[in-house]
Amino acid sequence: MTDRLAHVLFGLLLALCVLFALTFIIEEQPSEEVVTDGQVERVYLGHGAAHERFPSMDHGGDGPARHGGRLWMAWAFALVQLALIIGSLFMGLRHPGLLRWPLVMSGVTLATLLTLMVATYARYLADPSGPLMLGLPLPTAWFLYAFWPTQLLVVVLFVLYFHQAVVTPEDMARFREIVAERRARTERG
Amino acid sequence: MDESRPLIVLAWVLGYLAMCIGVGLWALRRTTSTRDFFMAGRDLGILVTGLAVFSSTMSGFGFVGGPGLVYRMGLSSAWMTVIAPLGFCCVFYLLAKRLRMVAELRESISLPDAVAARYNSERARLLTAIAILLGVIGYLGTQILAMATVLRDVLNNVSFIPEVSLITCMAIACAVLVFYCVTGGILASVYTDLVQGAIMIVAAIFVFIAAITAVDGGLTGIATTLLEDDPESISPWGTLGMIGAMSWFVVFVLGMAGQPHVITKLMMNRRVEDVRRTLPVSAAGYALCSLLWLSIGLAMRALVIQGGHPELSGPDEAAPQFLQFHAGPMLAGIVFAGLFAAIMSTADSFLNLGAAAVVHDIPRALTGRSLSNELFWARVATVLLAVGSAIFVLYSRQDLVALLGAFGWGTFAAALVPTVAIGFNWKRATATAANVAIVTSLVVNFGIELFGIAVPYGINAGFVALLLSLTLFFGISLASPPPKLDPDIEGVMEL
Repeated sequence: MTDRLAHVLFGLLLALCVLFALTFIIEEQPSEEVVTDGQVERVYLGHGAAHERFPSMDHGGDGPARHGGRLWMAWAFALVQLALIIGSLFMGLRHPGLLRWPLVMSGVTLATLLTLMVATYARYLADPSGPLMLGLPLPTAWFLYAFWPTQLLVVVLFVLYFHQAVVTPEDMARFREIVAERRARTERG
Repeated sequence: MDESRPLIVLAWVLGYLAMCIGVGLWALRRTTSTRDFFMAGRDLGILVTGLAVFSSTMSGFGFVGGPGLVYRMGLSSAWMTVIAPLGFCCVFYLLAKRLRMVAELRESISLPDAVAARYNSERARLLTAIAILLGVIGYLGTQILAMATVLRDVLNNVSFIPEVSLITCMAIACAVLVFYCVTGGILASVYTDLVQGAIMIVAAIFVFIAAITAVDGGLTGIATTLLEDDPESISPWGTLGMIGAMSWFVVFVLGMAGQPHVITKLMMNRRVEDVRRTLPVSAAGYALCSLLWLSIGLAMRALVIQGGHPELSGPDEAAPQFLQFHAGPMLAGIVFAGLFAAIMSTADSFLNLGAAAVVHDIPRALTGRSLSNELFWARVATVLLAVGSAIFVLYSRQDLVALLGAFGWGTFAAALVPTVAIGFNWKRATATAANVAIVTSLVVNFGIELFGIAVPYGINAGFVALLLSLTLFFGISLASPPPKLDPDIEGVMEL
């Protein structure tokens, strides 16, 4: 991996650390005060609470209350992670060559789909009763029908570009030399 | 309940366990060295490796815990399973070449072996082995308990079999697991994985169809029911919310490249080039099994809300209750066999990893050499680990069991993604950075669980540990002078 890529990945990790730190600053909503053993405790409900009718389930509660004003943070959180993941794939490619731009475009496509999920979810928060797409609410349809199968692009790229970018014939020839050199050194003691 | 159902289920389960014993006997004659016992002679084919990689990843959690999470939280846990194709890509893009090459070059028979070769550091070997061993004890105990619980339910539903205790079931389950692991080592493990993977795929497809059709209106009926009750549950992030659910994203994608039971399979394939076909097999197999994870959970949540099924006593009842009341007996039998397969395909990998750590890596790190008659001691360690994990999970405080159970994926991710997945691709990564990453992972994951630290927005502990360990790993390595590598290791890292 080049040092430039290492610096990019380190930068993405620092950005993720900043976003994580923001979760301690931007208070989770909604919340309520609960008295336990005579002490008042603040309980955060933004990550679900027990369902009123069925205690074995959780309930998401008021969507606009918990995500309103925080959608941008969640969107950034998702995109930085995706960039880190796609960037990490390049670590394994010593000479990405022709694979470079298809892999970048796969990442851009996944980022676009993530953005569509967030954008349609913003409308869904305001009015969940919109039409279903193939049996699912629109943001969920983007997730399961588009984001899920699109990941297979990255699998297909691995198969298609394998001999040019992942394991080339030159790699294998050089590897055999390295193994032979090592075996010879070991036998010489 | 249909009287034939318990018998059909029992027949499938017993048939599957008999298959495991048969594979153990077949592998016994082919396991004559520690290289065979821990690395299957580095001679695995494409299909075996591909199915072994995916079935090791999909443990019993995928068949019971996963549907339970969906029942409880809606689509939140989809960020553990739907994102798996990218996870397998991380494994193969990052490690399929260099880990396999280092393993062949240095004749490594364990992951800590390969780590020691990469960093020229016995301390890195020792810390990797300790992290693996701690994870193994926690993971293995919960897998053995899961097997015993399922077996007890299967046996106690058969009218002519007297009541069987959990301890008896644990003994039976352990006996089969230990038998084929001791006789055939990882060779038996991966060939049972081959059958297990096939069963899991078939079971998942049929269960998906049954689950969707169990609710009036099919998928639309499920979505409409959940939408009217709680729109958040059927959103892409479920009841956990966007940030909490998304915190699983990088842990389960990049984190897959740190799971020792998955990545060690890459050290065993016959040719480096075989991974070109192995990745699609693993990714597709896992994607199909994800259908079961999502469909049972969504269907059961909808059925309970509609009143078509009584409320569950706990989320983990989702899959067993679905199989008992909404699936035909043959399908229930296949799925129970698939459930055993899923649990055992992960448990056998962990047993083998733990034995390698105890018998090969820790002695070598502390004394400079492995035990003599290593194959014999590997078999002894396999037995002792299984029995020890079973006793631990039965008689320890449940909070300690839960602590070690939660240890699993997140801790491996935080410890081994920097050390192995990144370190094997970056010459500048230092042994000190690797050691700090492993220690950070143990401290943060244990600390958050032990002290009950609440992270905002429901962000999971594994994310915190992975973020910290990766940041420290990169920071320390970039701030240090470039390390001097052995020439052959440097040569492989240049490829």
